[in-house]
Amino acid sequence: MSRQGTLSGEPLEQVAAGAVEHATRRGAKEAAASVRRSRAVSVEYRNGELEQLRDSQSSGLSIALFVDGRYSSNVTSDLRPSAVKEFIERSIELTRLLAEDPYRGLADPELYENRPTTDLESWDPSYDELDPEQRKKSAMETARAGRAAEGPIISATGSYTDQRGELARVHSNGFAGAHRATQFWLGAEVSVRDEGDRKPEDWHFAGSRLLSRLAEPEEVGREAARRARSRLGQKKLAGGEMTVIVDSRVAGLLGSVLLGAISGVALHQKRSFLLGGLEKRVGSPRLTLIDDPLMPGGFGSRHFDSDGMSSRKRTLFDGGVLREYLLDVYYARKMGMEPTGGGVANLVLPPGEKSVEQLAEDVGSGVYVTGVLGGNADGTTGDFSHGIVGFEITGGKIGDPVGEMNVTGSHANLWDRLVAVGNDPYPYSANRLPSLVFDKVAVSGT
Amino acid sequence: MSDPQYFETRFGVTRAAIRKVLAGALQRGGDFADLYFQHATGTSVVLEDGAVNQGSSFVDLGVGIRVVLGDQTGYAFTEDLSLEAMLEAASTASAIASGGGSRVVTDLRFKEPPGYYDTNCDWASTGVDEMRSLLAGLNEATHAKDPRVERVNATFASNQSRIMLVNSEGQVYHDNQPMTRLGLSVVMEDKNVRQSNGHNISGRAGMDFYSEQRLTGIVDEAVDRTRILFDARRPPQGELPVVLAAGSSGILLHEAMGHGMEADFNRKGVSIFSDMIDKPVAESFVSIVDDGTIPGLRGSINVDDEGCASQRTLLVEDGILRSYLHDRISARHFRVPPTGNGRRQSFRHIPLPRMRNTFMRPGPHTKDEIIESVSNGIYCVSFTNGQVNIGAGDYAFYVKNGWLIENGRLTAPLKDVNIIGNGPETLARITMAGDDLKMDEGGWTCGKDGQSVPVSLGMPTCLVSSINVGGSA
Repeated sequence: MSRQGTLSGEPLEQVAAGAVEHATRRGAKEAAASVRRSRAVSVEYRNGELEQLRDSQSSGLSIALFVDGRYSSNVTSDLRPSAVKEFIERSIELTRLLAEDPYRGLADPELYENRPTTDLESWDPSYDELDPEQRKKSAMETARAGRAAEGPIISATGSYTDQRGELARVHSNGFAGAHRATQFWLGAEVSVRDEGDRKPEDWHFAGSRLLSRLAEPEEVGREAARRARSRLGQKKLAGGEMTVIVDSRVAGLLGSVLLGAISGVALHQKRSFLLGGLEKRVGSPRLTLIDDPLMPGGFGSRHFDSDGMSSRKRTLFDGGVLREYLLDVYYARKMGMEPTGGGVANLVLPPGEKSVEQLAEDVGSGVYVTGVLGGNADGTTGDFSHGIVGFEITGGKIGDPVGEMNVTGSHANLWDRLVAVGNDPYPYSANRLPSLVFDKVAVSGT
Repeated sequence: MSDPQYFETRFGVTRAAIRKVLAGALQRGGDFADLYFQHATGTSVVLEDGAVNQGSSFVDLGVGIRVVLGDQTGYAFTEDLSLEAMLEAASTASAIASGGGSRVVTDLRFKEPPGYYDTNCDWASTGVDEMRSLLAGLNEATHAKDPRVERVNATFASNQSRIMLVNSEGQVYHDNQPMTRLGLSVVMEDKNVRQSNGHNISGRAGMDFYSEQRLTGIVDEAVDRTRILFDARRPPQGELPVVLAAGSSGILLHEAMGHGMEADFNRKGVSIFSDMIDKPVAESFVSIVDDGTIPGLRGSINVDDEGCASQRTLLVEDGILRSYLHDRISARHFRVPPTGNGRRQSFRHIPLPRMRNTFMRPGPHTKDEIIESVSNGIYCVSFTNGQVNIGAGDYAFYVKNGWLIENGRLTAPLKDVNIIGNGPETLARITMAGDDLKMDEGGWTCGKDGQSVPVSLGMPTCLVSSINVGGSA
């Protein structure tokens, strides 16, 4: 058996174009293929010892097929040319057995136009020259910094991971595009001994698209240890309605509920508390959310989306008013509206002036939430309930650690209570929200 | 039958190639190496707006190569089963060790899977037309059940995973693992208010899983759980007695203690249960089991993903903590036999200690006497998800449907509350357990370290005397 299954060396766009051509030759009216190839390396040290080394290259093909007014999407990792052909043929057969759907089809090629070409600062050309020993050293130093920090530390794990990914997308109606990105991460997890059997843990992960912008191992290990230490002596507060600061590390979770509620599928299927909310006030003037796909170094940055639509910066919520739904090509057609792009690349909420400490001074008393434990939200009604860990805010200061408490409410009115935002957008995610302050939140405690 | 020759016949992976790759994996030394071959295929079809007009399929093929040295692991995978690509991955994985002296594996011994599910199952031969007509029937039945039904979405997904695990001791395990899942979700509208909810069922089974009784059941559950939301509210917040209904309430065990008993955490000394083996943790009527051998259940496995036999593992016996859940690394570390809990999401992932089907054995009380014993509390019926902090022991689960209990009676429907507690504290507060153990057939998926594996849960009706309940202020 030869090595014809791998993609190394072959231009991805050629493989994608070949798949599209085979699909249309075998009866698909239209087809869209994307081919990806990646390498991921990770090293983990724990308490001074090497614990894990992982290094793999991976590739795959996914193909959307439009056959006789019917639609399917299919994915395979078996890239031997004969296997790919057989896979496409079988997928076409599968598609023919489904019901027709008049709304399915590739995007109007007009939507492919004006594709941006700005440098996304997402690709580090030095990736392939990285030294295996340097990777180990980064993980080891991160673990060591966590272990060496002050406090009753039981265990400190340090990890270094990096990844390079390339993708090519080809549509039968004229779209061809490529995307590539690298990422580099340092992470530390630290456990400390508390009273009784409790061993609180916490983590810090810092990542970057370019190696030169990656944080120092020392800083990452120490920050994880500081966070773990800050959990010592956790208590529970009396419940009630109070003001809550949601740390930027957690704020993205809240933002993603809003995005879910303005997605085409939720709106069309009537599973959205924001149904009919377009051009209406759905939050306080602090609620501005921007999708910024061209942000340099952003974890979601891209020139085109999965429909092939050219990326553009757009304002989804503007001073509390819902301005734009997230409509992909399919749901836009179903709803008789113009497609706007179904996904968000980088989500930005314009930061305020104040640090969390300054916000706490303004708040006086309440809870500073630094993590959630479980919980969920009902997208149809907006109802949510989450377990929280964090700190008491008392006398304008961040005080003792608190946990084993819940916050409960509804997104349908939570955002009206957004009274302030911090100056600290979370840099390690495509959701770059700053810390958020909500008043009158129901907190359950003792 | 699971075919021992499957990877040779289909992909040309010969015994000679396997021996070479194992030798390559151990080229720099190491205690142990294994190769996990996987060929998984699946199809799913979706019903939306009355039509089954969306389908998808996948093929996942590859091998994961692992080299173990003490507590250390080197890992690489490849999706290309050519000898050259496998040798390259083996060499990459071997980098965890730095010695020399490759061992040669001469004799490969194939072992037949025991058969806790149908290893003859072949979803590829089940037609999409059969799935389509099943979904169309569900759609009709759902709309017929209540005129307020506004939207019906249903997904039928099935797959099978053919695996072959070869280790450096010459043992070869193979299996054909089927999986099917049917999900039904409903949006209802009444006086301009909308509510949505759903239900799903799953098993390691073929098409015969979908009996008339199960199909009627999923429609009844999805509609009933949705329409009751129109009248449901949040309970008052605070620390309350909580009664857990028989069945999927096993999520409490999964989060409150199951994860904390996974031995990787205990090997590292970071679990709240790390020093509790052979100590009392619950009332004497509490026995908790993790069992991979229950026929057809979603979390059942013939053999784990490291080639260790599946088994019934007693975690808590008559209130005493007895055993962790082990993979090979932790079993060696603690010098105990493996428990068959080494599982992985796919050939791309390192095996970890994971749960299978976790449940509590029946207790001495009845459901009625448990509910009657509570003067002011809540009764939890359905759940969506949960989470745990292993070291602090704090865990949470989300209650989608429930009831307020007032003076021993269920009085008002409840919705959407998170419950949060501390694992060891909660175990000690299980003050009553019913005689009505029920295993749940829901499509539960457990996540850990970025890996998802199918599991199941079971529970008799239970009373926890006090936990923190999210609610209105």
